[in-house]
Amino acid sequence: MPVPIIQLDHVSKRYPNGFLALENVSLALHTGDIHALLGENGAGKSTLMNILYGVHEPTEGGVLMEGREVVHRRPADAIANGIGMVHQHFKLVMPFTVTENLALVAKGAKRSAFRRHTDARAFMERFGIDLDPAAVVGQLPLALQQRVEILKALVNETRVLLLDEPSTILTPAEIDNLYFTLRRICDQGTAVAVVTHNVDEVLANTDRYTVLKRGRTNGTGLIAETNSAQLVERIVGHAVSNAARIGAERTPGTECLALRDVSLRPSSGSPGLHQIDLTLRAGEVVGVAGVEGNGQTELFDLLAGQRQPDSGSLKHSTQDISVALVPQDRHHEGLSLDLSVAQNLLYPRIMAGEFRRGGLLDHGAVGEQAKVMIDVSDIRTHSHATPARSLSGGNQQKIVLARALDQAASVVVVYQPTRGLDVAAAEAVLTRLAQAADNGTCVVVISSNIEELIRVSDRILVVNGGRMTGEVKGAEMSVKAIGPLMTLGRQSHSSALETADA
Amino acid sequence: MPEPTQQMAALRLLLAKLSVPLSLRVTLGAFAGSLILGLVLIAMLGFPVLSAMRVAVEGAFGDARAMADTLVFMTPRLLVALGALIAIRGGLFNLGGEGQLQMGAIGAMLPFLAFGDIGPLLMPLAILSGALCGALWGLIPAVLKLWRGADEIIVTLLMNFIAIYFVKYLVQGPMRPVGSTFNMSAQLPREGIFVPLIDGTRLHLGVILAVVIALAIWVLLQHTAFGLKLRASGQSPGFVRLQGQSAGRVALSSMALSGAIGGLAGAFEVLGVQYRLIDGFSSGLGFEGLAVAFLAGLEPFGAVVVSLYFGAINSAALALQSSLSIPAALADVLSGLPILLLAVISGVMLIKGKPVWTSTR
Repeated sequence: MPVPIIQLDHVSKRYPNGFLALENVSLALHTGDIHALLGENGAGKSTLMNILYGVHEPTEGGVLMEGREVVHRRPADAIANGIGMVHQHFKLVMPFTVTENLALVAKGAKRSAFRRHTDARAFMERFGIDLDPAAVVGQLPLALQQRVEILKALVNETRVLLLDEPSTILTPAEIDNLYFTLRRICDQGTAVAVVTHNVDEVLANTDRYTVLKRGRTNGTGLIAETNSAQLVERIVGHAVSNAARIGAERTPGTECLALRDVSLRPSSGSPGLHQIDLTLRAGEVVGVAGVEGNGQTELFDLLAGQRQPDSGSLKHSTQDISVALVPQDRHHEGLSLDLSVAQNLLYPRIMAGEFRRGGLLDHGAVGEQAKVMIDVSDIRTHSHATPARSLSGGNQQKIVLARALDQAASVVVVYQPTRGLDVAAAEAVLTRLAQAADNGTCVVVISSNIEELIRVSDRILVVNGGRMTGEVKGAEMSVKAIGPLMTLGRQSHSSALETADA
Repeated sequence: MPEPTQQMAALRLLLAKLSVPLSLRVTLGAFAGSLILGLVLIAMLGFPVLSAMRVAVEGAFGDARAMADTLVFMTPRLLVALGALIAIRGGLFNLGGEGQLQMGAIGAMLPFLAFGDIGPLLMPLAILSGALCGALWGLIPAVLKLWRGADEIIVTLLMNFIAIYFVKYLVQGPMRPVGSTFNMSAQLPREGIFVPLIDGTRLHLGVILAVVIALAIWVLLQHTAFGLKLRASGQSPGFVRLQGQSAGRVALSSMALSGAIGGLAGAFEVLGVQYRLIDGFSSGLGFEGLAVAFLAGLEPFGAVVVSLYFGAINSAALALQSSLSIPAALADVLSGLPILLLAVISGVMLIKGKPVWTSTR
C-alpha cells in the first residue's frame, strides 16, 4: 500500500462552544482515487473538510501529507501544500470571464499562465473540460459555474481536490458529467474527496468511502467491497426502504385554490408559464415534477402570492385560505440567519400577536414553544437561542418545514423539500408532509426527484417549458410515465446546458 | 479533587465563554491604537506626554464640570448614532444624520416663533416639533426610494447639505431678529430651554433623555415584535417578503423613527446648549454620530459607550488647548483615527476572507 498523499490521524475537533464535531476520526486519501465521504446532516463531513483545508485546526490529532506532519492554520497554508477546495456555495466573481476568474486565484508565476483565453483553454483541456474561456461566469448555468470552481481549485498545482456536496445542485445527467471530469482529474495525479449523501452516486462513481456518523468513523473501505444496503445501513444505522409509498390512499376534499388559464410572460432565465389550469383540494398531496427551470419557480411565486398572473386568474375558494411556504432558497427566503432558531420557528406567530407579555415579547414563552417544535422535528441544535446560521443545512431545512406545518395553513407549498438532506432526514420530511395531507391540508410538493414525488403524491403534474405537459395519478405514477413528459419536446433554452456540457 | 484533564476542559469552556467576539476585539484594538497614535502625535509636536495625559483625563472626568462637559458633548453624537443604527439595522443606510439634526434644530425654534413665550408648554412642544421635523426629513428619502427607487445612501447624504444651507438661510433672513447683525435667531425664553441641572455645569435634561432613548431603542430592537421585524427585514428582506410582510412599511417607519431621533439631537443642542439657532452650531455632529453607530457595532448600549468616548475626547481637547496650548484639532484626529483604523482592519480581514462582520445584524 503506497503512502497516502494526505491523511488525518486520529483527529478530534471541539468547537469553542463545547460542541464535539469530530471524535478520533482517521482518513487517508490516495492519489488517483475518488474518495466518497458519506454521512447524515451534521455528521461532521464539513468540519472534516474544513480541517483538511485549513479553515479549522484539529483540537487533537494531526494532518499528515505523504507521511509528514503538516499544520494548516489557514486555507493559504493548505493551498500552498497543493490542496484545492470546491465549496458548496460558489466563490466566483460573477461579472468576470472564466479566464479572469482563474487568473485571480493563480499564485505568483502561475498568474502569467492565464493571461490569454488560449492559455485557459489549454489548461481546461488537460481535464477534458470544454468551456468558453471568454464566457462571463454569471451567465453560465450552475453546472458550468461549478466547473469553473473546480478549475479554480486546480490552478495552483493541486494534488488533493476536495468537493463539498457538489452533486446537490445537479441533474442526474450533470452528475455523470461531473464524475467523468473528476476521473480525468484523478488520472492527472490528484486525489479527490467528495462529500455527498447519495449512495447510488457513490457506488457508481467512486473508489473508496468513509462514513461519518455523529462525528465518528462508521466504516471505511473499498467501494468494490460494499453494496447499497450496507452503505445505507452505515449512514443511517438502520435500513430504510426506498420504494414504499408514504401515507395511505386519500380522498381529496373541497376545493381551496384554483388557477384558471394562468400565464406569465417569459423573460431571461425564465420560460414563463403558459395557460396553466390547476385545482388544489384539501387533503391531497400534489406533486409538481420537471427538470429545473421549466416553470417551477414561477408556479411557486404565483401560489406564494409573490407574483400576479399576467393573464388568467388565481382564486382562493374562501376568504380564510392561507398558504404556508417552504421556499427553495433557504438562506435568503426560508430563514433570517442571524435570528435565533426559536425566532425563526415562531416568526409568523410572533407577528400575528402571540407570545406577548405587557406589550413586550415573552422570550421565555417563545423559547418553551420552540423547544417543543425542536423536539418534534428532531432539529439538532445547541440551543433554541442559537442563530439559525450556525446549524447545518439539513437542520436549517427542518426549521423552515416545522414553521410551515405549524402555521395550520390550508395550503402548504414546498419547493425541493429534501434537497441537501440525508436519507433519514428526507424520510422524516416526507412523512410529515403526508401526515399534514392526512389531516386535511393541501400539500404541493415541487421537486425534481421523481422517485420521491411518486412515493408521497396522490397525483403528479409535469411542467416542461412553462407548460403543463401532463398529469398522472395513482398507480400510473412511474418514472417511465413521467420521464418522457419532462424531457420530450423540450424548448431549446433547456437543451443548451446539455450541449455545453457534452 | 477532579482529574487534571477535567480541569483543563472546564477551563477551556470558561475561556470559550469569556472570549470576546472578533468584532469587539477589533474595535477595542482600534480605540487603543488611536489613543497610542494620539500620544505619539503629542510627543512629536514637542509637548510633555505625561502631563498631557493627566490634563486630558482631568479635562474629561476631573470634576463635576468636566464630567458634565463630557456628557453634553456625548449627547448629540449618541442621539444621531441611535437614529442611524435603527435605520441601518432595518436595512436602510441613513447617512442623513446631519441633515436630520439641522432640521430638528429648526423644529425646536418653531413653537417659539409661532406662539411666542407661552410658558411651560413651550419646551415639550419644542421637543415634539424637533422630532417631527427630523422625522419628515428622514421620510423624504424613504418615500423616494419606495416610489421611484432612488438610492437612500445618495439621497440622505445630499439632503444633509440642503438642510445645512437651509439653516444658513433662516438665520440670515426669516429668523434673524430685526436690527441684529449676527447670523443667529433670537434667544429662547427661560421656560423654553433645558436649564442646567447642576449649577456651574452645563448638564441638561437632554443628556438624561438621550440615555433613556438608548434604553428604549434597545428594548424596541430586542424585546418587541416590531424590533424583530425590523432586524429581519434588514438582514433578510427576501425572508420578510415571503412572510407576507411589506418591506415598504418597515422602511417608512424605521426612517421616520431614525429621523425623529436625529431631529432630537438638533433640538437638544438648541434647547440645552445654544438656546437659539446659530449658523454652524453642529460642526459635523451628524457625521460623527454615524461613525459612533458603526464603531458601536450598531448596538444601542455600544453607542452609549462610544459616544461617551467621543464626548471625553472633545472635553479633554478643550482642556489640552487651554492649559497646554495643544491644538483642539487633536479631538478631530482622535475621533477620526478609530474609524480609520477600523476601516483598514476590516478591509484587510475581508480580503483575507475573515470578515469582522458577517451582516448588519
